[in-house]
Amino acid sequence: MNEFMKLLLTMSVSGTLLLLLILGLIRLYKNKFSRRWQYYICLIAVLRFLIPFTPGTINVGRLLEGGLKGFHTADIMDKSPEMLDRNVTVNGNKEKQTYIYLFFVWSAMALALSVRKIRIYQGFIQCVKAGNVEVSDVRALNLLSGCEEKLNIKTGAGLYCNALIVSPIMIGYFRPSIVLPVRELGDQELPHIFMHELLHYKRRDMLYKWLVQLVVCIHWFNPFAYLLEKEVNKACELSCDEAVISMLDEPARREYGDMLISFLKPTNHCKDTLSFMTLSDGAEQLKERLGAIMDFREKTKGMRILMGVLALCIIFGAVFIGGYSDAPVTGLNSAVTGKSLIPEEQNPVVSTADENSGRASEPPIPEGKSRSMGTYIPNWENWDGDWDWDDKALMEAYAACGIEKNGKFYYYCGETVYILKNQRPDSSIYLINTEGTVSIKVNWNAEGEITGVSYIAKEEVEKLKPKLLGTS
Amino acid sequence: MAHKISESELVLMRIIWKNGGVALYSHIMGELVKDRNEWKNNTVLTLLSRLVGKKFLKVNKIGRRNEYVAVVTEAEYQAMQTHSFLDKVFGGNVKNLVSTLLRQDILSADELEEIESFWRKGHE
Repeated sequence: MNEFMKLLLTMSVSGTLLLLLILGLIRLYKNKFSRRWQYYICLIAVLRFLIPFTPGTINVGRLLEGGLKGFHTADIMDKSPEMLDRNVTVNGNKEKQTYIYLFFVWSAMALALSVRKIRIYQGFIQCVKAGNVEVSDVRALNLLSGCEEKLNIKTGAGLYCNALIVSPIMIGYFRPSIVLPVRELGDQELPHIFMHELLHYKRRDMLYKWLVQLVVCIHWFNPFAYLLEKEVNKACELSCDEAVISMLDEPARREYGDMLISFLKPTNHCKDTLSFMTLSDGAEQLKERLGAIMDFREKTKGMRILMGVLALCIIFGAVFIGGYSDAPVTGLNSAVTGKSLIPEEQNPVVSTADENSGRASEPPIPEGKSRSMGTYIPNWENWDGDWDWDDKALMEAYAACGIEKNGKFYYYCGETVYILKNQRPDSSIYLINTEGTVSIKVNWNAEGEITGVSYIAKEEVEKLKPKLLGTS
Repeated sequence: MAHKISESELVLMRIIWKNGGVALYSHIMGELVKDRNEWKNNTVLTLLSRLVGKKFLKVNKIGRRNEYVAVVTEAEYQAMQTHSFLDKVFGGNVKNLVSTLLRQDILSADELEEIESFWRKGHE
């Protein structure tokens, strides 16, 4: 449960960071970048909010893991053995309860929000459908067909008029219908309305908007999710306007603007707080849209290249900012973030790696037939995360300097190993076996080669013992 | 059948009725062009699918082509429309209808006599 909550939180944080970056760019280059770019770049933030994808080594998950420690010393392994000492289960239980509580609050809210949004939308569609009257005027239908041909849309959209709405809307995802308000609409206005609404359909804006609604439902606790919603809704209309006017000449652009103004009326009688695919919403935004129409210019080649490069940068940013890294998830047992690997159980001491992968109860894997494929050492950047006690390459490296493994026990010069310390220039990994008698230290260099094996002094063994056995 | 056929839809229905109640899409388009109706493809398709939705037409797929079959004959449709017209405008009173027809010279005295004799024959 707590892993899930952390995942959610990290997704929220990385989505927010990306969104802020994008919004910063949009504010900076508002009139320089095409509206379409501004619209679709937000999609990257949307996906970042939604996809728990974690490739990189530097990611928010790690950073957050550090930050979270402040208030929950949960049952995860801490970074140093010193911290481990005060890491106790009493705290852990309380934390677990808090997480369960948080999880229920979150899911109840997310569920309630989604249900509410869907019901509002359904109600709106029903309200509109009830008032729909088919438009049989061949002139209007022909204008619509003409626009469909121009946009290369195969599906014929239905055409209705409705006394309950005041501004044209588009409903239906698979079988789209354009609904017009009941009033005189001239041959000049109609094609503009049709182009605008058909473009919404062609670009699948409905799907995009629902994705954003999903973000809001999941990240309801994050105020930036609402900012994203607002930004996408605005950018959607602006980019749709842009797409329409790019096909028009100067006087037609003015007509288009006139048409937008003519629909600036009080709200529809069908309540739709989601404001899907309406033609105009609010004077504030209309002003911006009209401004954009007046300012419309084809983008220069240089600008286009810049937009492309920036888009790529943002995509890479989105990938590398990551979500919740899986490393801390497994960190519970294998102390990935730490400098030492310590067996959790005291008595039947087997190698910790065996415990992690749940193979402790399995019969020992015969020598040389270990499951590892490929090489072991290469990932030194993240070596403690990848430390696999059963790796063939590791066995061979050990065997070369006289350490043998038989079953779950290690032997050095014929004696069972008590503490096995792998010492790297900046960190070390331990293994303890209470039935062992000798303690050894394997020195590794940064290149992943063993530089030597030596016995550990008695004092050091005494010092290590409590840490490794989890008693102080 | 509560649905009504709009004027433009009736144009399509007439073409199909004239063709014996069955028509291919291409035939309908051909007839429209003959009548100098500049209807676009999607316009016709939208109207046809509405007629299908209102159960005045049925679609048979012949390969990739659509064949439209009239579910309602022209006579049936006329009967339906007459009833609704009579109900709406004359409150179901046939006498009022006939007197209006006579007054407007839509129906001549001769024609009325012909109808009367037709009516009597029917009852003998």
